[in-house]
Amino acid sequence: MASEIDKNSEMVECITQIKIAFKDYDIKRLREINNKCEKNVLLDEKLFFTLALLSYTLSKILVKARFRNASLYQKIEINLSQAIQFAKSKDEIALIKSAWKILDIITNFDEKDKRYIIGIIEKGRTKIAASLYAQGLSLSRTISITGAQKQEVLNYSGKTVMSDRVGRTIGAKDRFNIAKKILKEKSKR
Amino acid sequence: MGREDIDRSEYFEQANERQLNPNSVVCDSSSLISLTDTGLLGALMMLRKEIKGEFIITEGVIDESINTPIKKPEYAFSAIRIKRALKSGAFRIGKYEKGTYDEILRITNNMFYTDRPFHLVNHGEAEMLAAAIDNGVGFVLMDERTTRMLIESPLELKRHIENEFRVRININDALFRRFREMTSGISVIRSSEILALAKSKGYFRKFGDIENDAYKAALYALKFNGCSISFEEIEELSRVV
Repeated sequence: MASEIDKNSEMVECITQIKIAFKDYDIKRLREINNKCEKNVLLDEKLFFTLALLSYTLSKILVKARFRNASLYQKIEINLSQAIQFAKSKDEIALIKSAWKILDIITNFDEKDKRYIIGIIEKGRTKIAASLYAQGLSLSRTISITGAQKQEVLNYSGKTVMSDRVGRTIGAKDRFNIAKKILKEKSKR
Repeated sequence: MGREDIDRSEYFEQANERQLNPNSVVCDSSSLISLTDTGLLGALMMLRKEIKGEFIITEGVIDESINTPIKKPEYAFSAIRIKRALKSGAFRIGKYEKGTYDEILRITNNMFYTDRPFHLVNHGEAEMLAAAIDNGVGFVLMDERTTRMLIESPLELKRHIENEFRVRININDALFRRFREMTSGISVIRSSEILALAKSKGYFRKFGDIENDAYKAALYALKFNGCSISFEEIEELSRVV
Protein backbone atom coordinates (compact mmCIF):
# COMPACT_ATOMS: atom_id res chain seq x y z
CA MET A 1 0.00 0.00 0.00
CA ALA A 2 3.03 2.20 -0.32
CA SER A 3 1.57 4.03 -3.31
CA GLU A 4 -1.63 4.87 -1.40
CA ILE A 5 0.45 6.43 1.37
CA ASP A 6 2.47 8.33 -1.21
CA LYS A 7 -0.65 9.53 -2.96
CA ASN A 8 -2.25 10.81 0.22
CA SER A 9 0.84 12.58 1.44
CA GLU A 10 1.47 13.98 -2.04
CA MET A 11 -2.03 15.45 -2.31
CA VAL A 12 -1.72 17.13 1.09
CA GLU A 13 1.74 18.39 0.17
CA CYS A 14 0.67 19.73 -3.24
CA ILE A 15 -2.46 21.58 -2.12
CA THR A 16 -0.69 23.00 0.94
CA GLN A 17 2.18 24.23 -1.21
CA ILE A 18 -0.29 25.75 -3.68
CA LYS A 19 -1.87 27.77 -0.87
CA ILE A 20 1.47 28.94 0.52
CA ALA A 21 2.80 29.89 -2.92
CA PHE A 22 -0.42 31.74 -3.78
CA LYS A 23 -0.37 33.67 -0.51
CA ASP A 24 3.28 34.58 -1.11
CA TYR A 25 2.62 35.62 -4.74
CA ASP A 26 5.28 33.06 -5.63
CA ILE A 27 4.73 32.38 -9.33
CA LYS A 28 7.90 30.36 -9.75
CA ARG A 29 6.90 28.07 -6.90
CA LEU A 30 3.41 27.57 -8.38
CA ARG A 31 5.03 26.46 -11.64
CA GLU A 32 7.25 24.04 -9.77
CA ILE A 33 4.18 22.60 -8.04
CA ASN A 34 2.53 22.32 -11.44
CA ASN A 35 5.47 20.19 -12.64
CA LYS A 36 5.33 18.06 -9.51
CA CYS A 37 1.59 17.47 -9.99
CA GLU A 38 2.22 16.42 -13.60
CA LYS A 39 4.71 13.79 -12.42
CA ASN A 40 2.14 12.62 -9.86
CA VAL A 41 -0.46 11.96 -12.54
CA LEU A 42 0.77 8.36 -12.44
CA LEU A 43 -0.51 8.10 -8.87
CA ASP A 44 -3.97 9.44 -9.63
CA GLU A 45 -4.64 11.09 -12.94
CA LYS A 46 -7.84 13.00 -12.17
CA LEU A 47 -6.65 14.31 -8.83
CA PHE A 48 -3.19 15.44 -9.86
CA PHE A 49 -4.31 16.76 -13.24
CA THR A 50 -6.81 18.99 -11.39
CA LEU A 51 -4.13 20.21 -8.99
CA ALA A 52 -1.74 20.82 -11.90
CA LEU A 53 -4.41 22.87 -13.66
CA LEU A 54 -5.18 24.80 -10.48
CA SER A 55 -1.53 25.70 -9.84
CA TYR A 56 -1.07 26.67 -13.50
CA THR A 57 -4.15 28.92 -13.49
CA LEU A 58 -3.22 30.57 -10.19
CA SER A 59 0.29 31.27 -11.49
CA LYS A 60 -1.26 32.98 -14.51
CA ILE A 61 -3.68 35.19 -12.60
CA LEU A 62 -0.96 36.32 -10.20
CA VAL A 63 0.88 38.00 -13.05
CA LYS A 64 -2.19 39.93 -14.20
CA ALA A 65 -2.72 43.22 -12.41
CA ARG A 66 -6.45 43.29 -13.13
CA PHE A 67 -6.94 40.18 -11.01
CA ARG A 68 -5.30 41.76 -7.95
CA ASN A 69 -8.48 42.04 -6.00
CA ALA A 70 -8.70 41.53 -2.24
CA SER A 71 -12.13 39.93 -2.35
CA LEU A 72 -11.10 37.48 -5.08
CA TYR A 73 -7.88 36.56 -3.28
CA GLN A 74 -9.77 36.04 -0.03
CA LYS A 75 -12.30 33.72 -1.67
CA ILE A 76 -9.49 31.72 -3.25
CA GLU A 77 -7.61 31.41 0.02
CA ILE A 78 -10.71 30.31 1.95
CA ASN A 79 -11.36 27.60 -0.60
CA LEU A 80 -7.70 26.56 -0.62
CA SER A 81 -7.88 26.15 3.17
CA GLN A 82 -10.97 23.99 2.80
CA ALA A 83 -9.22 21.96 0.10
CA ILE A 84 -6.30 21.31 2.47
CA GLN A 85 -8.74 19.99 5.06
CA PHE A 86 -10.29 17.66 2.48
CA ALA A 87 -6.83 16.43 1.53
CA LYS A 88 -5.92 15.83 5.15
CA SER A 89 -9.11 13.83 5.65
CA LYS A 90 -8.22 11.85 2.48
CA ASP A 91 -11.41 13.01 0.76
CA GLU A 92 -10.02 13.39 -2.73
CA ILE A 93 -13.45 13.78 -4.36
CA ALA A 94 -14.18 16.82 -2.20
CA LEU A 95 -10.66 18.09 -2.87
CA ILE A 96 -11.18 17.89 -6.64
CA LYS A 97 -14.58 19.62 -6.31
CA SER A 98 -12.97 22.30 -4.23
CA ALA A 99 -10.24 22.90 -6.82
CA TRP A 100 -12.86 23.24 -9.56
CA LYS A 101 -14.83 25.62 -7.36
CA ILE A 102 -11.76 27.86 -7.19
CA LEU A 103 -11.41 27.72 -10.97
CA ASP A 104 -15.11 28.69 -11.25
CA ILE A 105 -14.62 31.60 -8.84
CA ILE A 106 -11.77 32.90 -11.01
CA THR A 107 -13.73 32.34 -14.23
CA ASN A 108 -16.74 34.23 -12.93
CA PHE A 109 -14.79 37.01 -11.26
CA ASP A 110 -15.38 39.45 -14.06
CA GLU A 111 -17.79 38.93 -16.92
CA LYS A 112 -15.51 40.90 -19.26
CA ASP A 113 -12.56 38.63 -18.49
CA LYS A 114 -14.48 35.38 -18.64
CA ARG A 115 -13.22 34.44 -22.10
CA TYR A 116 -9.69 35.28 -21.06
CA ILE A 117 -9.80 32.95 -18.04
CA ILE A 118 -11.47 30.18 -20.04
CA GLY A 119 -8.59 30.63 -22.48
CA ILE A 120 -6.05 30.29 -19.67
CA ILE A 121 -7.69 27.11 -18.42
CA GLU A 122 -7.79 25.66 -21.95
CA LYS A 123 -4.14 26.56 -22.42
CA GLY A 124 -3.40 24.89 -19.10
CA ARG A 125 -5.06 21.70 -20.34
CA THR A 126 -2.99 21.84 -23.52
CA LYS A 127 0.25 22.54 -21.71
CA ILE A 128 -0.27 19.71 -19.23
CA ALA A 129 -1.29 17.31 -22.02
CA ALA A 130 1.78 18.24 -24.08
CA SER A 131 3.97 17.74 -21.05
CA LEU A 132 2.53 14.27 -20.33
CA TYR A 133 2.89 13.38 -24.01
CA ALA A 134 6.54 14.49 -23.94
CA GLN A 135 7.05 12.33 -20.87
CA GLY A 136 5.86 9.24 -22.72
CA LEU A 137 2.08 8.86 -22.50
CA SER A 138 0.32 8.45 -25.82
CA LEU A 139 -1.42 11.40 -27.38
CA SER A 140 -4.95 10.06 -27.00
CA ARG A 141 -4.20 9.03 -23.42
CA THR A 142 -3.15 12.58 -22.53
CA ILE A 143 -6.28 13.90 -24.25
CA SER A 144 -8.47 11.64 -22.17
CA ILE A 145 -6.78 12.76 -18.94
CA THR A 146 -6.81 16.50 -19.63
CA GLY A 147 -9.70 17.08 -22.02
CA ALA A 148 -7.36 19.12 -24.24
CA GLN A 149 -7.85 19.42 -28.00
CA LYS A 150 -5.68 17.04 -30.03
CA GLN A 151 -4.84 19.72 -32.58
CA GLU A 152 -3.70 22.10 -29.87
CA VAL A 153 -1.53 19.48 -28.21
CA LEU A 154 0.08 18.51 -31.51
CA ASN A 155 0.67 22.16 -32.28
CA TYR A 156 2.13 22.91 -28.86
CA SER A 157 4.33 19.80 -28.88
CA GLY A 158 5.55 20.55 -32.38
CA LYS A 159 7.02 23.81 -31.19
CA THR A 160 9.06 22.09 -28.49
CA VAL A 161 12.15 19.95 -28.96
CA MET A 162 10.55 16.78 -27.66
CA SER A 163 11.14 14.93 -30.94
CA ASP A 164 14.78 15.96 -30.87
CA ARG A 165 15.34 14.61 -27.38
CA VAL A 166 13.97 11.13 -27.88
CA GLY A 167 12.08 9.24 -30.55
CA ARG A 168 14.58 8.61 -33.28
CA THR A 169 14.30 4.88 -33.74
CA ILE A 170 14.97 4.40 -37.45
CA GLY A 171 17.11 6.65 -39.64
CA ALA A 172 15.25 9.03 -41.95
CA LYS A 173 16.71 7.39 -45.05
CA ASP A 174 15.72 3.91 -43.88
CA ARG A 175 12.21 5.04 -43.02
CA PHE A 176 11.88 6.66 -46.42
CA ASN A 177 12.94 3.39 -48.05
CA ILE A 178 10.26 1.60 -46.01
CA ALA A 179 7.70 4.19 -47.11
CA LYS A 180 8.63 3.65 -50.76
CA LYS A 181 7.22 0.14 -50.51
CA ILE A 182 3.68 1.53 -50.55
CA LEU A 183 4.24 2.95 -54.03
CA LYS A 184 3.35 1.10 -57.20
CA GLU A 185 6.38 -0.27 -58.98
CA LYS A 186 7.39 1.46 -62.16
CA SER A 187 6.41 -0.55 -65.22
CA LYS A 188 9.41 -2.15 -66.88
CA ARG A 189 9.88 -1.64 -70.59
CA MET B 1 -23.21 17.63 -34.31
CA GLY B 2 -22.54 14.03 -33.50
CA ARG B 3 -21.58 10.76 -35.08
CA GLU B 4 -24.42 11.14 -37.56
CA ASP B 5 -22.54 14.03 -39.21
CA ILE B 6 -20.90 11.64 -41.57
CA ASP B 7 -23.15 9.10 -43.16
CA ARG B 8 -20.95 6.10 -42.54
CA SER B 9 -23.24 3.48 -44.03
CA GLU B 10 -22.04 3.98 -47.59
CA TYR B 11 -18.42 3.74 -46.52
CA PHE B 12 -18.99 0.72 -44.33
CA GLU B 13 -20.75 -1.09 -47.12
CA GLN B 14 -17.66 -0.81 -49.27
CA ALA B 15 -15.40 -1.59 -46.31
CA ASN B 16 -16.00 -5.29 -46.31
CA GLU B 17 -16.64 -5.81 -49.98
CA ARG B 18 -13.04 -6.52 -50.91
CA GLN B 19 -9.92 -7.47 -49.09
CA LEU B 20 -7.42 -4.79 -48.40
CA ASN B 21 -4.09 -4.74 -50.15
CA PRO B 22 -1.33 -5.41 -47.56
CA ASN B 23 0.48 -2.35 -48.85
CA SER B 24 -2.40 -0.12 -47.81
CA VAL B 25 -1.86 2.47 -45.10
CA VAL B 26 -3.97 2.88 -41.97
CA CYS B 27 -3.97 6.60 -41.15
CA ASP B 28 -4.02 8.07 -37.66
CA SER B 29 -5.70 11.38 -36.96
CA SER B 30 -2.36 12.88 -35.80
CA SER B 31 -1.00 12.72 -39.36
CA LEU B 32 -4.20 13.90 -41.00
CA ILE B 33 -4.25 16.88 -38.65
CA SER B 34 -0.58 17.74 -39.31
CA LEU B 35 -1.04 17.50 -43.07
CA THR B 36 -4.26 19.50 -43.09
CA ASP B 37 -3.06 22.24 -40.74
CA THR B 38 -0.01 22.80 -42.93
CA GLY B 39 -2.05 22.86 -46.14
CA LEU B 40 -0.33 19.67 -47.32
CA LEU B 41 -3.26 17.26 -47.46
CA GLY B 42 -2.86 17.58 -51.23
CA ALA B 43 0.35 15.53 -51.00
CA LEU B 44 -1.63 12.63 -49.58
CA MET B 45 -4.35 13.07 -52.19
CA MET B 46 -1.75 13.04 -54.95
CA LEU B 47 -0.31 9.74 -53.70
CA ARG B 48 -3.69 8.03 -53.83
CA LYS B 49 -3.14 7.03 -57.41
CA GLU B 50 0.51 6.19 -56.86
CA ILE B 51 0.13 3.63 -54.09
CA LYS B 52 -0.46 -0.10 -54.42
CA GLY B 53 -3.17 -0.15 -51.79
CA GLU B 54 -5.48 2.42 -50.23
CA PHE B 55 -5.48 4.92 -47.40
CA ILE B 56 -7.60 3.55 -44.59
CA ILE B 57 -9.19 5.38 -41.68
CA THR B 58 -11.21 4.09 -38.76
CA GLU B 59 -14.41 5.37 -37.21
CA GLY B 60 -12.44 6.85 -34.34
CA VAL B 61 -10.25 8.82 -36.71
CA ILE B 62 -13.37 10.28 -38.32
CA ASP B 63 -14.51 11.38 -34.88
CA GLU B 64 -11.13 12.81 -33.91
CA SER B 65 -10.36 14.58 -37.15
CA ILE B 66 -13.84 15.54 -38.38
CA ASN B 67 -16.79 15.18 -36.02
CA THR B 68 -15.17 16.61 -32.89
CA PRO B 69 -13.14 19.50 -34.36
CA ILE B 70 -15.89 20.56 -36.76
CA LYS B 71 -17.87 21.81 -33.74
CA LYS B 72 -15.13 24.26 -32.76
CA PRO B 73 -14.74 27.33 -34.94
CA GLU B 74 -10.94 27.34 -34.65
CA TYR B 75 -10.62 23.80 -36.01
CA ALA B 76 -13.68 23.60 -38.23
CA PHE B 77 -11.95 24.47 -41.48
CA SER B 78 -9.34 21.71 -41.11
CA ALA B 79 -12.13 19.29 -40.26
CA ILE B 80 -14.09 20.35 -43.32
CA ARG B 81 -11.07 19.74 -45.56
CA ILE B 82 -10.65 16.21 -44.22
CA LYS B 83 -14.39 15.67 -44.56
CA ARG B 84 -14.20 16.75 -48.19
CA ALA B 85 -11.33 14.32 -48.78
CA LEU B 86 -13.35 11.53 -47.18
CA LYS B 87 -16.38 12.31 -49.29
CA SER B 88 -14.27 12.36 -52.43
CA GLY B 89 -13.31 8.75 -51.72
CA ALA B 90 -9.75 9.43 -50.62
CA PHE B 91 -10.08 7.03 -47.71
CA ARG B 92 -11.64 3.69 -47.19
CA ILE B 93 -13.04 2.93 -43.77
CA GLY B 94 -11.28 0.08 -42.03
CA LYS B 95 -13.10 -2.25 -39.71
CA TYR B 96 -11.61 -4.33 -36.95
CA GLU B 97 -12.64 -6.98 -34.46
CA LYS B 98 -13.51 -5.77 -31.01
CA GLY B 99 -11.49 -8.67 -29.63
CA THR B 100 -8.31 -7.41 -31.33
CA TYR B 101 -8.93 -3.88 -30.10
CA ASP B 102 -9.53 -5.09 -26.55
CA GLU B 103 -6.41 -7.25 -26.66
CA ILE B 104 -4.26 -4.33 -27.80
CA LEU B 105 -5.60 -2.14 -25.02
CA ARG B 106 -5.11 -4.89 -22.46
CA ILE B 107 -1.55 -5.60 -23.59
CA THR B 108 -0.32 -2.04 -24.03
CA ASN B 109 -1.77 -0.95 -20.72
CA ASN B 110 -0.40 -3.86 -18.73
CA MET B 111 2.94 -4.77 -20.28
CA PHE B 112 4.69 -2.01 -18.36
CA TYR B 113 3.94 -1.67 -14.67
CA THR B 114 5.18 -0.05 -11.51
CA ASP B 115 3.21 -1.11 -8.46
CA ARG B 116 0.22 -0.84 -10.77
CA PRO B 117 -0.22 -1.18 -14.54
CA PHE B 118 1.11 1.73 -16.52
CA HIS B 119 -1.76 2.97 -18.67
CA LEU B 120 0.02 4.05 -21.83
CA VAL B 121 -2.35 4.12 -24.80
CA ASN B 122 -6.00 4.82 -25.38
CA HIS B 123 -8.83 4.29 -27.82
CA GLY B 124 -7.39 6.12 -30.83
CA GLU B 125 -4.09 4.31 -31.10
CA ALA B 126 -5.55 0.90 -30.20
CA GLU B 127 -8.20 1.22 -32.88
CA MET B 128 -5.66 2.08 -35.55
CA LEU B 129 -3.43 -0.88 -34.68
CA ALA B 130 -6.44 -3.21 -34.57
CA ALA B 131 -7.49 -2.07 -38.05
CA ALA B 132 -3.98 -2.74 -39.41
CA ILE B 133 -3.69 -6.16 -37.76
CA ASP B 134 -7.17 -7.42 -38.65
CA ASN B 135 -6.90 -6.35 -42.27
CA GLY B 136 -3.36 -7.62 -42.71
CA VAL B 137 -2.17 -4.10 -43.56
CA GLY B 138 1.56 -3.52 -43.20
CA PHE B 139 1.73 0.27 -42.85
CA VAL B 140 0.42 2.83 -40.41
CA LEU B 141 0.68 6.56 -40.95
CA MET B 142 1.20 8.18 -37.58
CA ASP B 143 2.84 11.39 -36.37
CA GLU B 144 2.28 10.48 -32.74
CA ARG B 145 5.53 9.50 -31.03
CA THR B 146 4.64 7.19 -28.14
CA THR B 147 2.84 4.46 -30.09
CA ARG B 148 5.51 4.60 -32.80
CA MET B 149 8.20 4.03 -30.17
CA LEU B 150 6.14 1.30 -28.57
CA ILE B 151 6.16 -0.56 -31.89
CA GLU B 152 9.73 0.22 -32.94
CA SER B 153 11.70 0.57 -29.75
CA PRO B 154 9.66 -0.29 -26.64
CA LEU B 155 12.67 -0.56 -24.36
CA GLU B 156 13.81 2.94 -25.29
CA LEU B 157 10.31 4.18 -24.50
CA LYS B 158 10.46 2.38 -21.15
CA ARG B 159 13.80 4.05 -20.33
CA HIS B 160 12.40 7.42 -21.35
CA ILE B 161 9.35 7.07 -19.10
CA GLU B 162 11.54 5.90 -16.22
CA ASN B 163 13.74 8.98 -16.57
CA GLU B 164 10.84 11.37 -16.93
CA PHE B 165 8.66 10.08 -14.11
CA ARG B 166 11.56 8.88 -11.97
CA VAL B 167 10.02 5.47 -11.46
CA ARG B 168 11.24 1.97 -12.07
CA ILE B 169 9.15 0.20 -14.67
CA ASN B 170 8.87 -3.56 -14.85
CA ILE B 171 7.97 -5.55 -17.92
CA ASN B 172 5.40 -8.31 -18.18
CA ASP B 173 7.38 -10.55 -20.53
CA ALA B 174 4.44 -12.52 -21.86
CA LEU B 175 2.49 -9.39 -22.81
CA PHE B 176 5.61 -7.74 -24.17
CA ARG B 177 6.29 -10.71 -26.48
CA ARG B 178 2.64 -10.85 -27.55
CA PHE B 179 2.67 -7.17 -28.50
CA ARG B 180 5.90 -7.62 -30.49
CA GLU B 181 4.31 -10.59 -32.25
CA MET B 182 1.10 -8.71 -33.05
CA THR B 183 2.88 -5.66 -34.45
CA SER B 184 5.83 -7.40 -36.11
CA GLY B 185 4.41 -6.92 -39.60
CA ILE B 186 3.62 -3.23 -39.13
CA SER B 187 5.86 -0.41 -40.35
CA VAL B 188 5.29 3.15 -39.22
CA ILE B 189 5.55 6.09 -41.58
CA ARG B 190 4.88 9.74 -40.76
CA SER B 191 3.46 12.68 -42.64
CA SER B 192 7.09 13.64 -43.37
CA GLU B 193 7.56 10.43 -45.36
CA ILE B 194 4.28 11.08 -47.20
CA LEU B 195 5.69 14.45 -48.16
CA ALA B 196 8.98 12.90 -49.25
CA LEU B 197 7.14 10.38 -51.45
CA ALA B 198 5.02 13.17 -52.91
CA LYS B 199 8.21 15.15 -53.60
CA SER B 200 9.65 12.16 -55.45
CA LYS B 201 6.49 12.17 -57.57
CA GLY B 202 6.79 15.83 -58.44
CA TYR B 203 4.45 17.42 -55.89
CA PHE B 204 6.79 20.39 -55.40
CA ARG B 205 7.61 20.98 -59.08
CA LYS B 206 5.11 23.83 -59.11
CA PHE B 207 7.65 25.79 -57.05
CA GLY B 208 10.13 25.78 -59.92
CA ASP B 209 13.69 26.60 -58.97
CA ILE B 210 12.80 26.81 -55.28
CA GLU B 211 11.35 23.30 -55.28
CA ASN B 212 13.88 21.94 -52.79
CA ASP B 213 13.50 24.93 -50.47
CA ALA B 214 9.73 24.53 -50.53
CA TYR B 215 10.04 20.83 -49.72
CA LYS B 216 12.36 21.46 -46.78
CA ALA B 217 10.18 24.29 -45.49
CA ALA B 218 7.16 22.00 -45.71
CA LEU B 219 8.99 19.37 -43.64
CA TYR B 220 9.65 22.01 -40.98
CA ALA B 221 6.01 23.07 -41.10
CA LEU B 222 4.99 19.47 -40.40
CA LYS B 223 7.39 19.28 -37.47
CA PHE B 224 6.08 22.52 -35.96
CA ASN B 225 2.54 21.22 -36.33
CA GLY B 226 3.18 18.04 -34.39
CA CYS B 227 4.91 15.49 -36.62
CA SER B 228 7.44 13.73 -34.41
CA ILE B 229 10.52 14.28 -36.52
CA SER B 230 13.81 15.75 -35.33
CA PHE B 231 15.74 18.61 -36.94
CA GLU B 232 18.46 16.10 -37.82
CA GLU B 233 15.97 13.82 -39.56
CA ILE B 234 14.60 16.75 -41.56
CA GLU B 235 18.11 17.52 -42.80
CA GLU B 236 18.60 13.87 -43.71
CA LEU B 237 15.22 13.53 -45.39
CA SER B 238 15.73 16.69 -47.41
CA ARG B 239 19.02 15.26 -48.74
CA VAL B 240 17.54 11.87 -49.59
CA VAL B 241 14.83 13.05 -51.98
